[in-house]
Amino acid sequence: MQNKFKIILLTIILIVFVYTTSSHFLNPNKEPNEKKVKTIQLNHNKVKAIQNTRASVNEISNEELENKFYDDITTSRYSDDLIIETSALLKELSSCNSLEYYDESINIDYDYSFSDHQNKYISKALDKCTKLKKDFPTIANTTNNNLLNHTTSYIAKSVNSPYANLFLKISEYESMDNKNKVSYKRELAHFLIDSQNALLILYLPRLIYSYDVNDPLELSTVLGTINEDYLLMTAFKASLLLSCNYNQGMTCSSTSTYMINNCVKNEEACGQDVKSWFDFINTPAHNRDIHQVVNYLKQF
Amino acid sequence: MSLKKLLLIIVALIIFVLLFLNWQNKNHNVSPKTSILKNKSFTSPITIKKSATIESNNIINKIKNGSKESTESLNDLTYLKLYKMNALAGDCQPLFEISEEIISIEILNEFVDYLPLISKNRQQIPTKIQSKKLEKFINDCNDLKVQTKKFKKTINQFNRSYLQDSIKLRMQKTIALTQEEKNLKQVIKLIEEIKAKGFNLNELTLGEYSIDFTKVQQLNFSINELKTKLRQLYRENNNNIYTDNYKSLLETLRDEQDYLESLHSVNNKQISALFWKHNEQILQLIPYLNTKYATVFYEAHKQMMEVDIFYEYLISKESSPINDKLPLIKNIIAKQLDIKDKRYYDTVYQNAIDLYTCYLGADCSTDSSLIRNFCFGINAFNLGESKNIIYHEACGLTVEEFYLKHFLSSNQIEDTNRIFEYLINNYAK
Repeated sequence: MQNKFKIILLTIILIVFVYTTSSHFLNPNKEPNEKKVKTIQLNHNKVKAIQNTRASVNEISNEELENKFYDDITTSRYSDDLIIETSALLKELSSCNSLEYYDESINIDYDYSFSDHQNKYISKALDKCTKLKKDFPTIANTTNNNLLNHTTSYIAKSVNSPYANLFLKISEYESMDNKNKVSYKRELAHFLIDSQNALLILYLPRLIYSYDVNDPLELSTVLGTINEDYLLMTAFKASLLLSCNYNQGMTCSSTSTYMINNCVKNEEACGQDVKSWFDFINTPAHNRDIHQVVNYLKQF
Repeated sequence: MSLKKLLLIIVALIIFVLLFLNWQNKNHNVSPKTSILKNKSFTSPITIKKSATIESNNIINKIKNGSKESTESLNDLTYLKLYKMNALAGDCQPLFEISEEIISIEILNEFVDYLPLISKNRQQIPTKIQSKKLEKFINDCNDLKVQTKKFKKTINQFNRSYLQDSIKLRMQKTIALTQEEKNLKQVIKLIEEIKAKGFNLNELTLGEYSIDFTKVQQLNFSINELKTKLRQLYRENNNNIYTDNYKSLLETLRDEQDYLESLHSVNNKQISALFWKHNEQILQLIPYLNTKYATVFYEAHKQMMEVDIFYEYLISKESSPINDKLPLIKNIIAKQLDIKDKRYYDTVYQNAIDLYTCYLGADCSTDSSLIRNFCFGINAFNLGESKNIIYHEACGLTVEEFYLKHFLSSNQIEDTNRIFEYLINNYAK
């Protein structure tokens, strides 16, 4: 009887041990204390389950697109959270689209002539974009914004993560009173900053500029000016500088969209990264304001 | 206890342990973000009070002791008095367009409608001082209308700026007596000549087509159609530009564009000749910047800025013979002070110019044109015009008070002061 009891007890300990360690074995690459924001761990089966339930939702207008869309975003380039992944990719691809103006074989409205030095960096950036479009063909080729927004909302509904919930709350934004609008914007700003994702951080200026609520992040108290134009300009530069710290500085390299846009206008910018460019182009006084906002955002 | 009962208890225990672990795990997955969001306070931890810096003190002291020389006599309709009336008429123009008669104070209601759209902080109702200042402005505009009632009207009364035109007519007939008036009259005459030549120059740069206008339109239509087709093809081919179809269509487009261009001719010789004449006139403006009179500096500088924009437009034109920028004051200062970022420079340059005109003795009071524009926006009633953002904080303050306390960051003041100092050292007499 006692032996039987010991065997049962050992079995329980074994089951508990296997259960607690199994998630780690299933995901050997994921550190338990990983700082990166990975709010939900969606594995392939879960995605398949989402795909299967999708057919029953009537509001989807283009089912084929939906399927292909999921194929794009399950690669987890930036995050396992499908909505973080989608937002980051959309930002990256829209930056690429803005660079296409400099590709003379595509741009039929303007005739640009660039020096060899300029072309060196422009073509590098365009090559990077071509590869990105190839890797994410569905998102890259969905030019209908309504469909894109609809699909993104659909994805957000199918995942349960803090960002997905915040993302979905956008639909309520217009009906919120000003106080709630400010709280919402601040909550979203917290999330974007804490995401430590360079592309997500680039969404910050959009939150800061608003046609309805005034200075939601209270930047005028940081800089001591109510000049809206200056606040926006400084906030944009500060967000960019903050993003340089993440994802191997992809948003700040010499082939980043921001630097290529500057390189096109001013040859001196070609080959520089954002940090060295800011030191070169901004006055020390303006740089102090930018850094003040960077520090403020870091603590936000 | 029987073995069966013991087993049942153990199974129940296992289920309980598993459920407990599962619950804990779920909580752990969501916790990092939500806890951060919950714990973070929504109120800003940083409040920086702008202290009176060395730079802002310098600007205030210099403006206080500035060379305020005004020989204006308020009673007579002197040239200077007419000049100021003309400036006010320009500000009042949007109100005059609403009503030919005396403007009713009820117009304030319209301002309230626009307020959320044009104010910095999406204000719903005007502040007390904002209403008071706007009321004063409406009264000033009405007074101006009464004052100019006996002025000879210009031929076309339906002209948008007929009041300004009749004041200008009076100005032309008024003798400039003081040195300031003489310089001001000269610079205004020069500016009118520059504007007329600039107009001709612009006409010339548009060029001519060797075919008639309807044929040009047809060709343009066909080019636009080709562009639309190309865009469509670009999307249909999944943004691929390397298809034969796309390439051949692009070639057709380029051919058509080249053909149209071949029919277009610009008389570069004529343009160059006129450009140099225009240029010479603009260079004649420079001595007027070296003045102790705020009015003269203001007019000469404003025209220089307009020319800068016009030349930039001319240079940007294809096959333009004009490729040289004038050594304009704005560009000279940027180079001297090593301010490279054009957009940033724009946020400090105009403020420094405004503060410098205050130093020279311009009206920078709480009822000045500049403050009016910040406080309630003189374009507030102009439906079609783009509206400036207005800041109620400006109402009741002087230009220097508003700029240094509210409109410029401490660091911006540093750069503004550098420009301000440069202007005093190089231009003020």
